[in-house]
Amino acid sequence: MNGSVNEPLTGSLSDAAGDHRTPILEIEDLRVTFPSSSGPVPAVRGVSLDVYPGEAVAVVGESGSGKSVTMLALLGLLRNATVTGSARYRGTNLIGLDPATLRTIRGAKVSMIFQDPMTSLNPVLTIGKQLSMVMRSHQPDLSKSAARLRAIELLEQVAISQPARRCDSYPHELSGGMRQRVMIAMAISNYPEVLIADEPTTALDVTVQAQIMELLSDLRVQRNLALILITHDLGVVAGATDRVAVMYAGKVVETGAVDPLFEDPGHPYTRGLLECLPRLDVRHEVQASIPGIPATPQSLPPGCPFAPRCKHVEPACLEVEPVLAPHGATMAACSVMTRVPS
Amino acid sequence: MSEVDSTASDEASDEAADNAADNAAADTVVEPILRVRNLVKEFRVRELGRVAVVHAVSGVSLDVQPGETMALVGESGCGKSTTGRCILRLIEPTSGEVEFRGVDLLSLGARDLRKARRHMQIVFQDPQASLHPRLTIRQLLSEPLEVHGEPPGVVRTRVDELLGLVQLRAEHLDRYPHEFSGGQRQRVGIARALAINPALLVLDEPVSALDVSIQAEIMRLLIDLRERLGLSYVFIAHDLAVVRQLADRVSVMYLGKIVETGKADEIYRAPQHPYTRALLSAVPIPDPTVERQRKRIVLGGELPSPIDPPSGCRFRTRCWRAEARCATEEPALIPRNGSSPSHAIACHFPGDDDRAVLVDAEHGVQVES
Repeated sequence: MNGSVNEPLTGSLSDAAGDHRTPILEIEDLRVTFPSSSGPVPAVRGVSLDVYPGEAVAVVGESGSGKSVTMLALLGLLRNATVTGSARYRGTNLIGLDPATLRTIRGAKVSMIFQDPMTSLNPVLTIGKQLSMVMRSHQPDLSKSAARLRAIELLEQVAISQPARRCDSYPHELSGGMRQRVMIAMAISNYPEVLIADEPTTALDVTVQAQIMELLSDLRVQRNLALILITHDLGVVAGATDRVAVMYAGKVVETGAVDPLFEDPGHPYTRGLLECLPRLDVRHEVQASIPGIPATPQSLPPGCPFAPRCKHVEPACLEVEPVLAPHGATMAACSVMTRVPS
Repeated sequence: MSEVDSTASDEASDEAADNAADNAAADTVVEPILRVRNLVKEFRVRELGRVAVVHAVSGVSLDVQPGETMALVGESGCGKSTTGRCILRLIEPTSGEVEFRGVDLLSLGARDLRKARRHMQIVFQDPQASLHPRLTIRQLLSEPLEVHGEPPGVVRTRVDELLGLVQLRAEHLDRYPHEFSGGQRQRVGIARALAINPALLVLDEPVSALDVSIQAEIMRLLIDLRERLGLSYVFIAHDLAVVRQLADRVSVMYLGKIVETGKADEIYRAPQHPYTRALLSAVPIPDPTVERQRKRIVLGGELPSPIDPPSGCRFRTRCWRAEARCATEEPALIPRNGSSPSHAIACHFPGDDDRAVLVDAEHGVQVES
């Protein structure tokens, strides 16, 4: 595991929201390794990312890229994994933090929503009861009746009609879109400063996706929330975020503000992803521009993990794993594309 | 692509298709390979002790010309997959007509239906679930050929051909489905559907479960196969960006009905039905500059229950153009507002002059207010 990414990713991002401010969350050289019968599996191999108050950052990648594991690790939600590096929320390192202190932050100051709200909600408890439990575990002074009133208020904020009635509904009585709204209500119930949304709209229809993304954007602006959006959908990224980190094989391979990253991507993987993406606004010849299958943490090649699928590959790529370096206005981990002409 | 488009609910073309059917396959350009009329599927369910009827598909009509790709798009619960399955009689339709090359499929007995299915096959979304986990790829590909009575020698040669068609290698033959990646498994699913040389494939969300880089490969494969083998596709999908890359014509479904149908360019460039407009405006475009200039039509409310669909126009409960008439009079699926004969809209107030902003990269950003 060489070539760690140690420099903060904000260096070249001059137009990112407020460099002058302090990041609310600083992830530095985060590494996650799972044990397995065939030896340790490095799922995350040194991820660094700073997140500022009120900004929306996308973490993009295909299945197995480590995007979800990174976030689960910093919230202490992984079992049996070895996690190293740091993730500081307002200066407090969450990695290795004692469980009691971590619980005061997780679900309160830093909260998370998941792809499938049906599996995240308890099927035998009403919506109101579940919201109330989440609030009362972080706000012990809140009475049951006050929690119920607050639950109704939250459901109203996430645009659920007849919130008082819905409070007494069970999850199966709600549509997929409504369930995801309930999850969002739960996630914001303790006034978080960072909201991690893991594929929040992937299981939803596109018109419902539009509703949920609009809700998340509104909440972000109203509450100055930092939003970390984990997704595989570059379309959603283009419309809803300020900055992007593209992950491949457990590392950030490119990062930058959303405009330059889409206009002039530096990493061949980012380019390939954008090329093979079907677009609604143009009928183009579909290109299968990334041959082969994604590298998995179980079978990482030496050198650059993208090299076996890359059309710009050079002999050196097979030996040395590249680190993030400037390419135009982004940072890319590609020794070919970031080479300074001599 | 077909020279002649017949509009689903156009009575005249209905008759023309009937006549053509009588004259057998004399003129393959005019006669659709697949002709569906007023397809209805109702499911009976028990709800709180009572029997209720789910109106899954409520009168769908469509034609597919030889070599053509007809996309059936819509969101969950719109009836697109049920329609696909009814076409193949994997689910028995409640009523309606399905004709394949002039043969009425709904009147066929089991044996004749099996013969007809030689020419029409289906590819499912999740190859993991649709491929038997304990059969090797060789067995999976041989099975359909054996079912249709091919001798062993023919089976062996055809299996090798199929591998080449979907770009798998001979060494893959003796492996099991779990040893493959999602993309490779879908290649097996496609090869299996192609085994007996069908003319029509129903593709039910064939790339939805795959990562984007793999999606592109499978799309490329489907486009190549269509050209090489002259296949007709019914392409069922929820992803309108994917559909645009291969559809000749598009039918948009909402709550069991086709609300708009037309040539792909007509639907993508000048959608007229409010639901189509909302649907297209909701699809994100991977371009930050374009995204900032778009306005979304964010639909209010929830999808009504198919047990008790709204009277009149089924979309009216969420429609910003709805008036009293929409609740009483169901709009027919016909060309309107001077739209071309191939472009039919089931809406009393069609048009593209509302608050939507649609984007077409080839023609720049159109801002409408």
